[in-house]
Amino acid sequence: MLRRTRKGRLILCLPIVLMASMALYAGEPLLNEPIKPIDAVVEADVEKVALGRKLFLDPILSKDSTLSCASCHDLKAGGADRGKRVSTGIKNLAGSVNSPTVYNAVLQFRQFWDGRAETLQDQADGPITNPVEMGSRWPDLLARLYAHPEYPDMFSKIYTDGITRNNVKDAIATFESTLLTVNAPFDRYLKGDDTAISKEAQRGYQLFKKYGCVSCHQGKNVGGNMYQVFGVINNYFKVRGNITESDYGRFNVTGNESDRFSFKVPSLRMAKYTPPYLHDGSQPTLLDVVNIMFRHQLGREAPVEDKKAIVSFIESLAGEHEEMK
Amino acid sequence: MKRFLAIFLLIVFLITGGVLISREISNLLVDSSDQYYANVGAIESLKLLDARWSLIAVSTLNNPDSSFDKLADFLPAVRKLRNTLEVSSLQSSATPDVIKYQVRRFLLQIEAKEDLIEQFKSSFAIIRNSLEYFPLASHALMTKMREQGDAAATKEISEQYERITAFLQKPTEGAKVRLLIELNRMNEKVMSYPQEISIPLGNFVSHARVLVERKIQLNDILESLTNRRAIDAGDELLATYGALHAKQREYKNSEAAKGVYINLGLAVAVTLFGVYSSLLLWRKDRDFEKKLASGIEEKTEHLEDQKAESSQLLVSDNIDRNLEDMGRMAATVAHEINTPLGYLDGNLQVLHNGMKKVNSLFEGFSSLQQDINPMHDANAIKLRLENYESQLQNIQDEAMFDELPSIAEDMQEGIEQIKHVVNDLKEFTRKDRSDKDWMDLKQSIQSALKMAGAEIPESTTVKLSLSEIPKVYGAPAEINQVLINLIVNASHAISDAGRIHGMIKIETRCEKENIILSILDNGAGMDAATREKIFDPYYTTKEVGKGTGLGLAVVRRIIKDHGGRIHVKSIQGKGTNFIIVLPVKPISD
Repeated sequence: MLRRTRKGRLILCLPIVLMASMALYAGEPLLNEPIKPIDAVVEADVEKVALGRKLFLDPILSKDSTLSCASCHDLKAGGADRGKRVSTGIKNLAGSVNSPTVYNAVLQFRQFWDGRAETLQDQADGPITNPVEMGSRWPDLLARLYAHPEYPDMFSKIYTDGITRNNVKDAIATFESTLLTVNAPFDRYLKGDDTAISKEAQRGYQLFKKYGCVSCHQGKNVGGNMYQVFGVINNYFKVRGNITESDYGRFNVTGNESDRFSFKVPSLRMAKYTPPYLHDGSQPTLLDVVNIMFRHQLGREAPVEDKKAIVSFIESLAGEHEEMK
Repeated sequence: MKRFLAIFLLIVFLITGGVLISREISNLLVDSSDQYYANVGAIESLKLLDARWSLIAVSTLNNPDSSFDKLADFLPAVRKLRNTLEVSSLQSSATPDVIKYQVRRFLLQIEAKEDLIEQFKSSFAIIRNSLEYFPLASHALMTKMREQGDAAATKEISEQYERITAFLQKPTEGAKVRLLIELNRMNEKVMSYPQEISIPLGNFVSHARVLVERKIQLNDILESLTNRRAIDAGDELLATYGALHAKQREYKNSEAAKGVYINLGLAVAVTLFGVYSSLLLWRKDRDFEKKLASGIEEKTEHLEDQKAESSQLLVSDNIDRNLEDMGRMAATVAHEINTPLGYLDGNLQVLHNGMKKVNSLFEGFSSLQQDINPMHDANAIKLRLENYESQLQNIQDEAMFDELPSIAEDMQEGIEQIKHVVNDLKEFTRKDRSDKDWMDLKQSIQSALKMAGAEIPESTTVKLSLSEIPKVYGAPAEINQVLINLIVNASHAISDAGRIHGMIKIETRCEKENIILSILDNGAGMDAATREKIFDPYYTTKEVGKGTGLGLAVVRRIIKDHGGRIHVKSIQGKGTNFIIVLPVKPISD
């Protein structure tokens, strides 16, 4: 059960200093843009966040105590799996899709590439019990947590019903909801600081809008708020070949033919740090994936300088977080 | 020893008395009103969200710089309200079935809206890009072709461009198919061109195809966004819920409340008596011991009284259930009639608006005839005629006359549906159709098979195993109806299951004083919950408009009137077997 706790709430990362310093910037803030800055004012119970963080980093969650959430969502490496195409689960089993970043995940309208979880709470269930990820069963996991020297106390301080499946998920989700990246160069640019991003990146942003990338990658998270078919103009999977079940995307959830090859549009916020790209992790660099998008989603030609400018715009979207340091 | 017993009794009486009293008091105090008003609030909020959601979706159409965050932001609120309703009404055993059914329907409509919003976002993003780029792509392609000196090809592209722009203005399914065929033909030729042409031509074809394929879809999505399905379902739910709540309150204030007061009084009396007798026992008075014995007797009587009281409560429970049945029946009938009434009403509105225009034109013409002589002003007459001409054009543009046949057809269908509902109702209540005679069941089966023939799927084999049975004394019309009904149900179950080799087996045999008639199918079958309800009036598993849920209720009524019984055995996914047992001897009417 979700329960509001009595402990004082912490307003994390309220960038007062930043706001004060903004007064010094000369430029006008850009208010009417399809992309909005992330204002990371997160209200969360400090103790719950601490518990969630401990769980997130603790291999106790996996069946053989070898993997934690952070094993595939490395907080120091942009919240994803350090360049791996797909992650490796317990017993060296390979996952089926590329691990997305956990940063800003709370801003996504649904979780997973196919959007099968409505909330971060629901999402937490997936990797913990997936046989090729952490491979745990809830009764065993709860037993491990009960036997731990610290968890029973930590849980009972926050939750009246102590260690339960819902509370484990709630604590992890609460921690994850604090993983908002702030102060991205592009956000500073939106707030009026013309010098926050290079002229190249500024040109990249205009091109990003002009070529239509922004039709899907928009909002605070520059994506993550809608589904889209992969292969709008040209069939990606025919070109790539070797189609697997996970390529069916949202179809696996709804069974609707129109959802075949449809995925949640990924956020571009931390793209700078999280190669390789796409659900299949097939594209090693941002320029590669921009090429793929032009070919299969936009159906347009563009000079390579334009694509490079777009890449430098995308790189300017990445913000900061304490956990990254 | 006796003191010990006294303390023990005192504790027992205090505990049981306390429990009884607090239960009765809580019965008296707990009012389902809290739940009711909370649910009404959730329903109203969801209705509002549903409407605003559509509005915001439509508003993004005209704002190129808006993000979809605003649409995604609805999700947590919708999710929360949906959970509230699911927990408090769907998962609560206190909620009447009719409310559960309507809540589920309402939530389905909300879910449908959620899907629609997703479709809108994806579809709009694609179309928006292609709408913007298609003119540029066409221009780039034509420029290249002109440079190559290919005048014929340039002309072809220019014409194709015009056709697609015209299609986007007024998209029809026919034009869509024609254009897609043409675009496919163009696509096949792409590779035969040199690269300077093949790339822009490929782009032209791809974007043209996206627009042609998706324009109608987006229009449909936009039209569906503005429908009132969720709001109507919500209103219907609120109406039923409100009526039921009012009835329950009324009932609570009268009968039930009285029952609770009586129970409360009894509980208090039992407790006081218990405490009193325990205290007497405490005093170890011998005389009191006798009294205690009689006291216990009295207490038992009290408890008996209480039992009687609770059986009275059971009766009132039944009244509740009857009210609920009637509520459900009224809701189904209202819904069955409401839907066709809805489109009768809508179509009449269309007709009425159309006729107003025709009428004004007609009046204009008749007055013109009278005016022609005195007016003599040719110019004025010409102006008037032009005016009428444009009115006429207006009427033609609206295509009302083209739509007349389909409007009439729709209305006819609506009336048929209402007729069907009324007939079913009549059938259900009718008692005088029972002109009984000695009849041959075999013959009835043959003729029922003939009459239900159209409904039996083609690949289905009908096996008959009709042993020699005596004639039955019964009403042929009614027995026929029973047979047709069961055969049609079996047929539907077979087509629902999508069986390639469907089978219906009809068997008759004689056992002792009874005739056994069995109708077996290998159709979709049903689960235990459905099986229990199929004989309830107004229970139906068919789509709205396909059945009133009276069929099997009528079947059971008829069989009962004939002194027989009907049983059903069914396994989900395997099939269903209806068994009718009819007595050979006529029952006295």
